[in-house]
Amino acid sequence: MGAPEYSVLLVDDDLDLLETMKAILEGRGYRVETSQTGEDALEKIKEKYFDVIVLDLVLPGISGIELLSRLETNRIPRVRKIILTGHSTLENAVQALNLGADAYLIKPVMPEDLVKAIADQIDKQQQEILLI
Amino acid sequence: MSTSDCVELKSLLAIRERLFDMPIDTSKGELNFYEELCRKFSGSAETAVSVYPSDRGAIKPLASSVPFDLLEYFEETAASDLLQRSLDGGLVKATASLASAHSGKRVFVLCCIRAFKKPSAVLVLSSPSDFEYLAEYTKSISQYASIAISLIRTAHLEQTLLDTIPAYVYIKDQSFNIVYYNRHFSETFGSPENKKCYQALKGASKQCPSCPSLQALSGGETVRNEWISRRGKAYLSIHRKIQFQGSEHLLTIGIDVTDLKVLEAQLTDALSELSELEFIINKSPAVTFLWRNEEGWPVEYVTENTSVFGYSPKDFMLGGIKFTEIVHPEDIARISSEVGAHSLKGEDAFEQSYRIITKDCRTRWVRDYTWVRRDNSGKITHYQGILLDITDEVLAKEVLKEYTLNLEKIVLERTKALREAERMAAIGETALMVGHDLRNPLQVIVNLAYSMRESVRSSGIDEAERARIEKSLDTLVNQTDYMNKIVSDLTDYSRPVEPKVERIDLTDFLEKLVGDAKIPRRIRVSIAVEEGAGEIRSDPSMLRRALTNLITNAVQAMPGEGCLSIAARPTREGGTAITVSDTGIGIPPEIKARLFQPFLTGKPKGMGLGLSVVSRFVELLGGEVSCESEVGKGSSFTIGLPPAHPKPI
Repeated sequence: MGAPEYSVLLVDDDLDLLETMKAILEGRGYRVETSQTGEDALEKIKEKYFDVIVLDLVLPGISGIELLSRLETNRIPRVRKIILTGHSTLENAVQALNLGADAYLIKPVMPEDLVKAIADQIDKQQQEILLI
Repeated sequence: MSTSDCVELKSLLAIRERLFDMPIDTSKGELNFYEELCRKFSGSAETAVSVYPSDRGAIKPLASSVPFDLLEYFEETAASDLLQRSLDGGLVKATASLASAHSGKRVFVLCCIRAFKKPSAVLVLSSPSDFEYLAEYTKSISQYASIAISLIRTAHLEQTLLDTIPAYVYIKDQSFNIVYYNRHFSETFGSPENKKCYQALKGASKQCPSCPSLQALSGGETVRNEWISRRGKAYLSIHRKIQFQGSEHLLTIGIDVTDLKVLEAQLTDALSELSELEFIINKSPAVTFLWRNEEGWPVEYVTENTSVFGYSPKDFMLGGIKFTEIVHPEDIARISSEVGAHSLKGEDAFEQSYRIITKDCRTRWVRDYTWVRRDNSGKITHYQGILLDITDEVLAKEVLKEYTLNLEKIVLERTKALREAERMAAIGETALMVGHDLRNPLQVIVNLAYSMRESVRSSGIDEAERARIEKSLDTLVNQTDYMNKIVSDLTDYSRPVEPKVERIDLTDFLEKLVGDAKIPRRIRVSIAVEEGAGEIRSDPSMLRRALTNLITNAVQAMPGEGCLSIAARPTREGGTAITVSDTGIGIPPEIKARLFQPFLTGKPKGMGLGLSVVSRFVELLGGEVSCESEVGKGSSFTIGLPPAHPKPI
């Protein structure tokens, strides 16, 4: 499972969701920060490095899709992006994956499944690093 | 009856048949075919009416075109009644001699004839004074002839006596020289002294082409002829061979029948006008009736076009069908009271609509324009009516009425359907929103349950307490799962979907589906994919949702042990049928009828969206869902998929 040095940014407008999710991930040893808006998320990403970003597609202000697209344009290196949304449609999924999302999960996700998904992404990221 | 009488009778019958087209019974040498008609028209005539040969000498020559020589008997009272009626109806005039079958008494009368091809009617008047002299003429000529002949035979040629006869009499030799004539002759044609007959009578220079005298000479019979003088007078004459002054001579007696001929011509014209009128009426849709004002409205006359109702005039006039017998039973009371009301108000023309029953028992609507006929005392004797078939009109109105009513119904139904659709759309949008919004709280609950489970594990509380809390958390997660399923149904039912078709290995697909479906162990599961159904093209996610919902329902229908079978087979149309069967509680018929409607459920919980989603998705995939179920035995749902999807990826 995950190691303590890895950092995760959770982006969702639901504060309860952020807090409960943060607690679970922190319990698993991740360094977790949260954002309730896309703008705030962008600020945080500019300030520091995250290994994984877990984001909802529907957000106040900058949407999840917009956020993905900006990350793609700014070529933030190595960051893994997991979509976790309640507004799941095939179109959304295709669009998100085209914009560089690495995984696509639908709410409600079993916490162990999310934890596994994050771990998988970090593994992939590590392999990429090794390949470089 | 002598042989010549029979010949006479036959020619009379020939004329009759041509004119009247009536069955005639000649077996007894009598005509009794008028009995029914006589009874109908006169109302009180003898039932047996015999027709004897006419007074041949007088009347036969006039009978060439119309039946002048009808011999019939009518009581005087009946005849006067007929006179009144014929005046009402403007009938045709003719003369006839009538003889009683019983007394042999013979009278000359004026007939008013209404001649119809079939059947016929003859109305007879008592001798009216205007026409009495005609009757006298026809009676006289044969009497005069017999007087003349007897005088000549006895060689008592009494000039004075012959001069009193109002007919011309002359005798000529075989060279046509007139050797004797009476006063009437010279007064009419001038003196015939030293003249031949054709010179004296016609001013002709030679013998007439068809000389009746020659015929009389050669044949020895009495010859009759009609001729027209230079002054335009019509004469009826008889020619007979006689012995005069020791050699064969010819006797001719003639009377002026100009008035009679004029009358005959008028009669012929009137008859042809009448038949023209009759033709027009019969070609028209106006069926004309004449009813007697008696119980049942017996029909005295009806035009032939009553055939539009399947009847022939004979049915009414001979067959004894009364008019009320063809009126629709439900309408009789109404039209009777209407007629009564009109009559009371003194209205002699009115209009009614009612139904009549045709001979082949169909119902037709008619509009009846009725006129009332009264006798001199004002008493109603008859009704005459024109009936127009208005069935099409009535039916059209009914159709229109029904359509109008239906239109309201259709509008109401459409409005209802539209409102329902609007309501469903609103529900759909709401459902979609609610579904999305519920997903966050569900995620929070799941997260909390997870965290609590973690906390409980590390808290060091006693085993029993820990097991109790974990069981509660399991239930919480299961319920969240169920809530999530509802949310999925809601969003699946509401959101717009476009199928994305791809190749599906059905055996793999079904096995994975069953594996993911969390089917309790108490239920045995079988999957059977027939040859030819192994590979299909469809939208896997939509098909998965549809089948998952069917499987969920099947599992819920089997609270105890049971058997879940999933079978796929190729259809005759080249598609694939996938059947999900259970051995569960079954579906009551009243639920089954509305099974695929949204928000309808036979289950104790749930919103009833599951099957609506199945139905919606399968329809989007171009297929259809069917259901067979028996309460207590189980249900089986079949998804029939079409051969190929039009939009493969």
